[in-house]
Amino acid sequence: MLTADVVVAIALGYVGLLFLLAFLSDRWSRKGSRWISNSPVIYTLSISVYCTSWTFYGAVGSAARNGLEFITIYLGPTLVFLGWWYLLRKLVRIGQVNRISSIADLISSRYGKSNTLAVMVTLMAVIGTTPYIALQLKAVTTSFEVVSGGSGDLLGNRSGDSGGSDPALWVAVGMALFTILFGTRNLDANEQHPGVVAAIAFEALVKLLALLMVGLFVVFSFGGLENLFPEEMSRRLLERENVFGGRWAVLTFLSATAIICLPREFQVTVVENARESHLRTAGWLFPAYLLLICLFILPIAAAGLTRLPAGANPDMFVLTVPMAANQEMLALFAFIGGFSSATSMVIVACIALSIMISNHIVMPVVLRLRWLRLYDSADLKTLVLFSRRFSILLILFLGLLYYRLSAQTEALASMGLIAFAGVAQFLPSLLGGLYWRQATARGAKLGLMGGVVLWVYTLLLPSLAEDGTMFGEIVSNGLFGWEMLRPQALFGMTGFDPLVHAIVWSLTANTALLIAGSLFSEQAPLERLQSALFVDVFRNTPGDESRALVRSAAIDDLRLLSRRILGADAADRQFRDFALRQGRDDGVPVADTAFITHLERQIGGNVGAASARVMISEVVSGETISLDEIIRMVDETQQVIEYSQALEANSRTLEQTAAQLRQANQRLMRLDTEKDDFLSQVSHELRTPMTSIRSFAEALLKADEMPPDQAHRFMRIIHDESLRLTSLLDDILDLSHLESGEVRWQVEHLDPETAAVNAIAACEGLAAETGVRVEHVPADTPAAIRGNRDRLSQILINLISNAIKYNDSAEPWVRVECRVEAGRWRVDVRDNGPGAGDVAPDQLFSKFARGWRQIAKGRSGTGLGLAISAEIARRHGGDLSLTESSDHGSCFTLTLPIAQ
Amino acid sequence: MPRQKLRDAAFILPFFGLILIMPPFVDIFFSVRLLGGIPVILLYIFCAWTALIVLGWVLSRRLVTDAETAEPRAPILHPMPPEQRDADG
Amino acid sequence: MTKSGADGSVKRILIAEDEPNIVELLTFILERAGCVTRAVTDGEAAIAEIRRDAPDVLLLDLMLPKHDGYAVLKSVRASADNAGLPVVMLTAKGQERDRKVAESLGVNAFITKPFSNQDVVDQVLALAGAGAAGR
Repeated sequence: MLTADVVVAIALGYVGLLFLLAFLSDRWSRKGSRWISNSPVIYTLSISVYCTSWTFYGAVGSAARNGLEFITIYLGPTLVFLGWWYLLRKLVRIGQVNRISSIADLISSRYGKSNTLAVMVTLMAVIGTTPYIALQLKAVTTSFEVVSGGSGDLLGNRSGDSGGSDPALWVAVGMALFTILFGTRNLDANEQHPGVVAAIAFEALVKLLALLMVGLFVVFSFGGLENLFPEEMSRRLLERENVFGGRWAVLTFLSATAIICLPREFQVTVVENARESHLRTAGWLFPAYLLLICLFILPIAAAGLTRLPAGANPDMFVLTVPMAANQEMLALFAFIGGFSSATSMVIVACIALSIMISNHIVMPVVLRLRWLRLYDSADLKTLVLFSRRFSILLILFLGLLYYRLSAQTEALASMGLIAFAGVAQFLPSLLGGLYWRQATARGAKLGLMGGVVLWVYTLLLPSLAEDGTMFGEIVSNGLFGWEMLRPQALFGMTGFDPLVHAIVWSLTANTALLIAGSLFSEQAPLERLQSALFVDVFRNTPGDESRALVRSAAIDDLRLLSRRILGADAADRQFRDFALRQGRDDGVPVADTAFITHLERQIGGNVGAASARVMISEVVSGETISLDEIIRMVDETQQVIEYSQALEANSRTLEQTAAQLRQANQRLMRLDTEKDDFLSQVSHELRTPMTSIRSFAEALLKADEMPPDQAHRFMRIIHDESLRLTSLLDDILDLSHLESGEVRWQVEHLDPETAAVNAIAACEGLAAETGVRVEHVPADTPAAIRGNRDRLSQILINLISNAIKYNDSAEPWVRVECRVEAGRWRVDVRDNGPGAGDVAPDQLFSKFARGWRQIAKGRSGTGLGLAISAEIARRHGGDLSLTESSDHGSCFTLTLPIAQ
Repeated sequence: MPRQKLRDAAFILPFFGLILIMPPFVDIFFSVRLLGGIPVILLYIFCAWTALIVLGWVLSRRLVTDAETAEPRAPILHPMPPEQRDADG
Repeated sequence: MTKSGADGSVKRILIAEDEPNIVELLTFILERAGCVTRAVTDGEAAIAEIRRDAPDVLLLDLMLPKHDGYAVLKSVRASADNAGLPVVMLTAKGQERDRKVAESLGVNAFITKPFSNQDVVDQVLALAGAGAAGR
């Protein structure tokens, strides 16, 4: 029932519908109705132009042949869109701020508005898209033949020469016409085509619906999923060697790359984006769309493998399965779905490519050929449109050519993957440009070139090669017969999947050359400016660029130029608006940098940034790029970073200071405690004599009768204790003065020997009383010291009297030995007393040291003597220590520095 | 959830997805046995996919782009430009 | 002449103090009050003496060599025979803290130096009498 004519008619009818839709949408949009550009759902659906007839037909084919592999093509974009916040948002923002018209424009603009790069990217885009278009042609042609029951049969294979006209040609022509009608009706400054977008969104729904319907049919006709995937079938479909291996990863990576780098995807995602907030919806809705598309792929594949004879073309299962069940309507609908997916791809891809070709190849050439003398906007506009239409024809022609040349038995999927790998070559320059400020144009050019060459050699060439031809020779034996240069096993990397092999080589070389090239080249000032604008797009304010560029121009020249490009009305409107913004009421704006930059952007929307720059620069004079400003801009970020680092450092020092303060506080608290301890100790020491004084006095007063010698004794004790008390108080005061360093001593040159002799003489009385013999051994060499006479005596008397007092041996002696030793004057006071016992040396010199009490003969010391002496010694720059202590005696040593 | 954490989550989500679908993790679920008529590996992939989409949806509701709210550019950290500093000093 | 205490027996006091003058004073006033006194000059001797021949009251200085007053007190209170020995602590350290520590260790009276002679005598005699009753 379905004849060729019927099918053609329906297809044309569908196309007509689309056209109507586009036309109306354009009309509404121009009238100001913004429902298309405001709808995030339409935006998301338009992105699904990613799913072409490769998806519609080829996915099932791939599933039937290779199992799960097909899913990678949809998982990659899912990941990219899930992470929309970082990458896609940056792309969209840059696109909006810089009015980017294509991916070539983006890359060229980033690297200093380099036209060379623009041309390179454009050419590569065309070459890369060619296989893709060929694949659409093939799909449409084949599916047409299948569904119209023509020369194909249920097997879905094309039977060689179909004798007569090749449908592919007609399809190509038809698509060209279609695209030209759709996409080049007028020029929009933003390069946005709301009509096309609406039509594409509609097509997205159609193809999804068609695929879902076929899927559902399959499930129902089998009576449920269980019957679709019996053990054997699922093993056959899914169990493969190394499913999740290198190819899985590479394919996911490739598809993730493709969703950004494919010209048509860039067009719908970035250029056609009206609102950044739409990304929020697209971020999850697009992956959801992909999920739905994939849902029934495997069931359909399983159905095909089960129901259809072996040898049937799996690519056509979507059609042949319904047809085998005599569901002709469904098959027709599916055909329309596939047709839809193919045409949407071709339309958008051709539009995107034509923009690139006209902006980056045609316009620059034309501008250089001044003899063409294009004076008014109409001329220029015509030229642009003409060049775009021509480009579309050219692209389709190339696609057709590739289709004819390529191996006829090739699966749809593999042709698509070649295209993916091609556009993947944009990735290093793109990502590098977005995130690495140092990436230079030279690096980008080198990388791109290297990657493309390797791609052509390892992937494109083999796909066109047939055994026996020149290409075929190279493929099997390597270039010039060198085995190391075999396209599919470069440098001995054999045994790899050709795609993986190609990707590894091309992208590695690409990235390496980008990095090396950037590191070894300098950025021109404009490049530096652009790189700052791009990489820091989220941090910059609009107008940053115009601060860095200082330009002036004659307002008339500008007006002329603008009218040429934008058209008289649009240009005049721009001028008036800007004049208003500048606060001038004569409608004539000042041609300052901001205005010029604004105009350049507007013009760039029409002819591409590179060309706009050339045109503007003809008109503009005295353009200086303020390097300082650029550097300032770039440095601002640096400053912010440094500032926050400084803040961090500051807070660290603050912490340190706080720590030091805490330490000082602790020290103070310790000193405070020490003082408290000292005070409590002092009060304790004072109480002891006080106790004696009071109690004995009380006893004396109370006693009615007391023997006179006892009373005398008591009074004596009172007297002695009072003395003790007094000397204690004196010592305390003394020590306190010493420690605080308030007292200034009279310092003079002394003969220490004399001091020693005097001290011994002073203790004579005590010695005689206690029966202790005191000896003096003078030093051999005379010496002089600087110090205070009285204080020195104090130490010596203290030491000597201690030695006398605490000596309870049978034949007590004290020896005072003086000598000069190592630049110091040293006196040892030895005795044969009981030693210090088990009192620790440092304890000995502390205040109120214990340990000597119990052996004091009659008169105990104040306990402060040694502490005072030690302090005096310290003040003199000397040292007092206990050098020997045993049961047989002890030795105290005082050393003092000799005066020069 | 504070803004920065949301952004971190947004950053991690695709990597998380990547881990889910890449070996060795995905190999764990590689089984052609049937669960309710569907091979396990298929079930896993589609469920993981759905989960990621749902997570993406949840996050995208919370993430607000700069273009939508006038987000101030870290103003307090901006050091004064040199000219002003001289004037004060 | 020795006076007898309330119950008629002569009170035997052990003085633990290292300052000789204070020992002399305490001996004087206690003997005038009719007690018999012994003295030791360090903590170790104090503990030994108590074990050897327990007195009726212990007059204990805090700052003693070898074992200080607290240690002696603890040892006494921990001992089997003399846990209930009345102890009067004499010390120049008179802070609240010290008093509390001493009380927690079980001291019966706490006197700070300088002291009133009469006060010491009264406290000792009271404890001696009470101690006798308690024993």
